[in-house]
Amino acid sequence: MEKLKVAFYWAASCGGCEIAVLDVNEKILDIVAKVDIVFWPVAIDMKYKDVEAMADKSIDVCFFNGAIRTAENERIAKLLRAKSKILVAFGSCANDGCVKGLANLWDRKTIFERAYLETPSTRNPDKVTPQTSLKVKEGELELPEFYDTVKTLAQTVDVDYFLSGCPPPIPNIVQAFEAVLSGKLPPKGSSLLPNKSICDECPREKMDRKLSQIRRIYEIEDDFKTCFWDQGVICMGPATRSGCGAQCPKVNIPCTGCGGPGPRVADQGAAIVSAMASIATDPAVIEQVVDPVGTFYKYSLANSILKRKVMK
Amino acid sequence: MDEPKVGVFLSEGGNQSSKVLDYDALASFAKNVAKVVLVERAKEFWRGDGLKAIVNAVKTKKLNRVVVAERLPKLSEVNIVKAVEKAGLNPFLVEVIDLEDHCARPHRNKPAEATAKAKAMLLAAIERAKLLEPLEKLEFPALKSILVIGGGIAGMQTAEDLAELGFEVQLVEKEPFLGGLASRAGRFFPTDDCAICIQAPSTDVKSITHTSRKCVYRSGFTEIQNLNVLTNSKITAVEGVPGNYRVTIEKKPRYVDEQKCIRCNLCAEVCPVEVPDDYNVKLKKRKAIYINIPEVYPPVYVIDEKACKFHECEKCVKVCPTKAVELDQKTEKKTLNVGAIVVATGFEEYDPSVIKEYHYGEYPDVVTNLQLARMIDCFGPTGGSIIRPSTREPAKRIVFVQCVGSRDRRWNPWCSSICCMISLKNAMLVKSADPETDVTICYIDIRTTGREHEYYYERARDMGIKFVKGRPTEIAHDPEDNTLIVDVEDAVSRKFLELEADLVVLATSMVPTQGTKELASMLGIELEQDGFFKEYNAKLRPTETKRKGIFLCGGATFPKDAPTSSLHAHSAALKAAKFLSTGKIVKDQKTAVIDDEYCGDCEFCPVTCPYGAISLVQKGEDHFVAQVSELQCEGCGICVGTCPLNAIELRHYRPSQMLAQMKALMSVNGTSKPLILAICCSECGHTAVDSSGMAMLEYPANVRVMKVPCTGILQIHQILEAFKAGAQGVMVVGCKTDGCHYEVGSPKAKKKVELAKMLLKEYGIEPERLEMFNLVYIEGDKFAEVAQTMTEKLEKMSPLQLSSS
Ligand code: SF4
Ligand code: SF4
Repeated sequence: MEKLKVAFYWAASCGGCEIAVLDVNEKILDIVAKVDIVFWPVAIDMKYKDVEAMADKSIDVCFFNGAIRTAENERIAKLLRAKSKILVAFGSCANDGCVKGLANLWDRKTIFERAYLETPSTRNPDKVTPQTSLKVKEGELELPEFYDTVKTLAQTVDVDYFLSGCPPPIPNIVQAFEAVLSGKLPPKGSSLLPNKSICDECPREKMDRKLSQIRRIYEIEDDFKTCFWDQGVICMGPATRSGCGAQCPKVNIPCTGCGGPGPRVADQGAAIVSAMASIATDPAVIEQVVDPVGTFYKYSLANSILKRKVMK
Repeated sequence: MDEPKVGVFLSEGGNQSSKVLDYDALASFAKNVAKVVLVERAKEFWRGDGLKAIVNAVKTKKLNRVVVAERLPKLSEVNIVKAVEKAGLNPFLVEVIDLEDHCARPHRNKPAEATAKAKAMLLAAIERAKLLEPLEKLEFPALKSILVIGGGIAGMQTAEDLAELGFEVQLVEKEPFLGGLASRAGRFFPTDDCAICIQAPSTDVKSITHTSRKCVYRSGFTEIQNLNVLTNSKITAVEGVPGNYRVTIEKKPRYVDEQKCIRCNLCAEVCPVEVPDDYNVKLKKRKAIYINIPEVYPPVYVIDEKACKFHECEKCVKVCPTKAVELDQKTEKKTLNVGAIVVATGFEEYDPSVIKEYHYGEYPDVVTNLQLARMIDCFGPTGGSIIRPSTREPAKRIVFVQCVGSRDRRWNPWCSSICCMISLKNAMLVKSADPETDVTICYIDIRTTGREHEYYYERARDMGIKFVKGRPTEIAHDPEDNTLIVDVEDAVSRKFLELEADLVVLATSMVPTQGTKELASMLGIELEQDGFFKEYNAKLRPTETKRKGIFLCGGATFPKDAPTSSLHAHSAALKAAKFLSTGKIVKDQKTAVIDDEYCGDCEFCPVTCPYGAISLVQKGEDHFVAQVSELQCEGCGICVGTCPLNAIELRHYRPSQMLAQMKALMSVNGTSKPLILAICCSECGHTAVDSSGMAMLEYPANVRVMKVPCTGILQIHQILEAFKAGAQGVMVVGCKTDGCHYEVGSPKAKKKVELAKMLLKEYGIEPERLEMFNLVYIEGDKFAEVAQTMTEKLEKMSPLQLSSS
């Protein structure tokens, strides 16, 4: 039987998703035995032109991680879309923009100013910021364009399946491979994660759900068994797609929302804030929220209803 | 569901709409909307020929959605819906809007703008209508049996009413005898009649007279058909649903056979154990086997478990001539299935010993009003004489202290409402028994709000009872001559007084009876902040709770005098009877539904539902999902506004319907002003819009109203969607935060709006673009005003340009 042709790619990402693929551990051997990895920049030395040379739809499945931050990210997303039969948005960045998406609170100009001019550790007397092209005596140098707005993969190209998480939960990665190998795939557009939220898998005990005060994790003495909300700590679990087995709450850290919004939800941050307002017994809790976007949209700002801060 | 075939009916009969709106334009606009198969115009559609035209069109054109623009939809809708239903269409597939009060009147000076807005309104109604789904009538069985908890004056009267109406009534009293607090009060104000006098049952066959009231013991109360009294019993669990509650009752043993006891008192005579008598507020001792007073129900002795030595002693067993004493009786557990429950657990005296400056419990001659009442009662511990407990000599100088533990933020902030009258009654009874007794009442205010009450007060003054306006700061005791000294500053004479007294009577605050909290949680009903049971609505539904089939009466909701308790008791009986009278509960399917597939068991929604309609059910090994009881759900959508997974939807207000409506409202502007979406609750919010139109007030036509059941349904993403759809501002209009028709919806919306403002700021959107307004129906002027000021405010801002899409 012909081996399945698989590609992996990282756009604007941290590399964690690549590690997650390796975290499949010994299962990787079974998988490798059945697939041919045709493109994986982090592990195999291949160039974009090699991909360009492939016939359209010649890759059976491409796992694409990373958000669309630059023109290069976008170009390769489009390229891989054309070359792949199945395109999977892999990991939080590709699905929801993830932490990179938080850059949508700024734009290229303000980001460049901050990163290349203002940070205390920067010495840049000539005020040089990245340019898309630069003529030097050896010729013309190019950098991909840095966009104002971080986008998700699905905002850029047509995506077949979604496997979110930062990184995606290992069992779901294995399942995804198995589904592809066996051809038993759900309908196009599906998520490869369960439809429920973290709470469904969380062993912590839910109590009276009366939020009278918001406290940060260091302000409480966690009893290791009561739901964080009942201890006054914001946990994104209720508004976050499950699959991870409530990994964080199980090790006493509130969920920060990497699974992204639930299947019917267009805006993860708005969803949890509505829920929070509904159980708040004291209007003063509103003032106790520190860093609203970083708390409620840590992973999903780029995939929210408004997607970014209004550009002036 | 079939493809939507929408019929649009435009009534032109409105005084203003006929002048202001361009109906030709509206009709041709509507005709061009997808799925609209018919547009008809007439003077009116809600009665006569107009109504016939709708019915006819439904039948002949096979319409499956009907949109009617008609005046006063809150009245006309009833007719239209009924007619359409007769024509064979499900009544929930009809949408009625108001182009007169919501458009033509307020925008009468800008006809073009009004017509543009009317188009948006029509489109919104059509888009919503297309997505409507048929809903059914639901029927639930209801048992014609009722449990009354509490055998005091209120509980007994409710029980009697209901039993006489033919319901099976179980009256459960936790004490061994009926009567409650009232029976211990001796007399009632302002009539000074006996407290054990109750409304006589109409089935009274025993006595030779048919007067309307009789002592409990000769009233025939216990002989009423269908009435079963369980004393010495308490509720330990309540399960089930309205119409069929399953109640577990624990009946403590009496140790005396109710059939055999002949009340000869021989047992009490031989009993060697003496304990303080709680019935008489510890003013005397009683035996371990006892009866409170001779005229009680049941007329059977009882053994105090905590005091009796049982088989070590057995003296009573030996002496009883009828062998009625049975020391081996066991606690019995019973389960009852009842259709409804009436809570009549009353109130009790606050324990004033926490108020250190009054030394209650420390100085024996400081007593409470109830203790004094027991002394006044000739069946009481002193046989009717007023004594000093310290010496048992007559008390000649008596000082009453009012508001003990009441109107005092340290203890209970409320006025207990009846203690002034109780003190006046007791003071007068004392004074009339012995006019020589020196009686003084120290008060902050004398509150005599009931009929006859002020005369009662005047009478007390005429009798020579003295009044000092001031709250005593200390009660001291002089051990030399065993005199109490009450320190008080008289605000009238501006003198500091030291009143000498033999007996000081504390008019203590009245508080919920013990066990109220536990009972409330078993029943799933709420308590007020003061700890009393909370009624559904103080004005309109004073004896109902938000939980269907559970009613309240008497002092359980707040201290009440006997006339008010009785009034309450009869009202609760009527409500309970009405609830069960047909043996079934009928309601429609305007409810929330939770999709199992998506519910993630965060357990937020159950606590936010004001009706306790949501519970968790097990799915698989250790997974749970929330489930809505169609019977208990009132369709407010507060749970929808809570669920972070959108797993909950209202059948009659699906998110898809709301989104379609919102987009339509924002799709046509027609004015030069910034579009505003006003999300209005269907209660006060939407009716405030009505009333502003009715009052011919003007506001700009850029304000577009979207009706929702309750603002509690609001989800913050809808606000963001509104901005995305083109709104430059969003107004959320709900009831007053303490007047929400679903109680918690509007305050929740307020919090959401505040949090949404916080998010908007982060998004770089001026938070002032979003405001919540809390109005009542008659504040149409306020609605017009805020619509105007909101518009002006937005006009000053540069237009919102969202880069997303
Ligand atoms: S719609 Fe209202 S009444 Fe019904 S379950 Fe939700 S919150 Fe409760
Ligand atoms: S709020 Fe939503 S997710 Fe949470 S328990 Fe209720 S239905 Fe389930």
